[in-house]
Amino acid sequence: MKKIIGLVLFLTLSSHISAKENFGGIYLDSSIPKVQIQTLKEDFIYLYNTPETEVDSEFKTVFELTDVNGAELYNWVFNRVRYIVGQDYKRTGRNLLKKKGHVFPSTPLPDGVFEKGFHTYGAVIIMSNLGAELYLTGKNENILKGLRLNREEVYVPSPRTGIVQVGEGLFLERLLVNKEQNSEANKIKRLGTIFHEARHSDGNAEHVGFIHNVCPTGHALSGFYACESSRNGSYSLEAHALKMLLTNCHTCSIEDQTKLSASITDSLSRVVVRSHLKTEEKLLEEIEAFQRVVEFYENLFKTNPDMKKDYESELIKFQGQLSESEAQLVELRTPKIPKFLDPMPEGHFYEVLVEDSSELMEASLSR
Amino acid sequence: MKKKRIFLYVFSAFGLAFSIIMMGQEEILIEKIKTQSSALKIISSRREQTPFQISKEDNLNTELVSLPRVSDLKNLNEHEIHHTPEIILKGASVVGRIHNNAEQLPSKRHEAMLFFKNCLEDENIAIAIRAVCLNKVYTLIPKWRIPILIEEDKISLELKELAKELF
Repeated sequence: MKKIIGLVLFLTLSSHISAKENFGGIYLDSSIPKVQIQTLKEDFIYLYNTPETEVDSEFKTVFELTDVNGAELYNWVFNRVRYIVGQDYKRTGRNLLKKKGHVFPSTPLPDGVFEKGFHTYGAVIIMSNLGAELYLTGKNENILKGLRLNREEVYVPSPRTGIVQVGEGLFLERLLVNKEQNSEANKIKRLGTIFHEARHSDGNAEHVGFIHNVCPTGHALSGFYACESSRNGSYSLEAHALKMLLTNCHTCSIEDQTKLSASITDSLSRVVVRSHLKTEEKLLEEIEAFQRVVEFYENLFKTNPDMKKDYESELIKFQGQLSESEAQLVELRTPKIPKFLDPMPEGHFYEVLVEDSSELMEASLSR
Repeated sequence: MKKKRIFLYVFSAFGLAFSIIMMGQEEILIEKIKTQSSALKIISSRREQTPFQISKEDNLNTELVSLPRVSDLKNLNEHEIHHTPEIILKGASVVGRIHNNAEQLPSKRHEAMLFFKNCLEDENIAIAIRAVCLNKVYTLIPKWRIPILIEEDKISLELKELAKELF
């Protein structure tokens, strides 16, 4: 009887240990459903097999690549995504690690970093960069945080530790480009999301994690943390990656191409350098309207000084709105291009060479 | 009495004959209109160098109305907007299908081009979709050899830049 119990325990432990996978050097946690693991593997293989591609200089600048081919692109992702966990992975209790005494870089945290939401769709996760989140919250609390992945303790001394969570949303039928889960078009769409999340593993000081900004007034998504002001942020990179991969798509139908194009334009529409998106015509109308109100109150106070005490606050309010509109007009008339943020990550991390990440991938492919 | 009856019969016969003649005329008129319409279509397809008049009441209006509006995006929640929203993908699917159908059937190309024009000029439609429509106009004008007039005051610099990013 004891032998039977022992055997059962051994088999259970063995199956649990072997449920996690390591593909191309990337850890794939047992919390990821097997079918998603297989899909992700095929996506990485597809990326790794990208042929040498002619791209514009902007692509090479934002990705900091001189050559654009599968090995380079896979290496770029690998240096930012080392661990992938599933939607059901619990980041609490025994899985959440904390260690005091770590010395974080004495750089400021990004503004509004704890106000942004997760990258989820409804109640399901699409993809989320846990590493960046753990690093930022840890730095804020001055505690080195980490996760227990299988039996390994993975602390996050830099967002480049590269822990990403994938969920059902990444594979949701409603969000697919076409009905074939493993079509080229859907691989490209998922890889765009992977590049987006990978970018959150970069950055330092005020832009560590390349956190999204609030979309400005006049933008379709105004008020949401779904914009960025840099030319090498997550949305820009996602758009560039989609565009590059689309050029190599051999099986993308016109409908597939159109949907991926809409993803590109949607991503790029979130790169906003101005604090507003009003037109010159609208601003001139606003200025004229506010000027009339201000002039009215100023004349009123001249002829009826006793009314000043009741209505002065109104005058001040409209003077403020007039100044704001005038400042927005000046901003509109001043040409601005998105700035390039230093992507160098802060904290302790190690960079893997192209040859090494390729060797890891080749080893997985030969298995 | 007999005279009255004869008069009545003759009058009725005249009336009947008149109706038949008028109906015939109407049918001829309908045929003429149809012929003229066909002629117009043939003429317009031959006059490929001349921009044709655009009317918002033309076909594919249902599809146009189904495209996502800016107001639809504002109604999404925090979770739904972080990556390309479903409504954008659905709208792109509509645009893509219309393009594909027209690619397969050349007779549908004028209609498709009109759809793209109406799409890109509608300031209420989400800019991601408008940019796709504008890009399609840029690429399909020389390919399908269909010239089209675009109302420049409805296209912002931002829209043009987004459309050009797809080249």
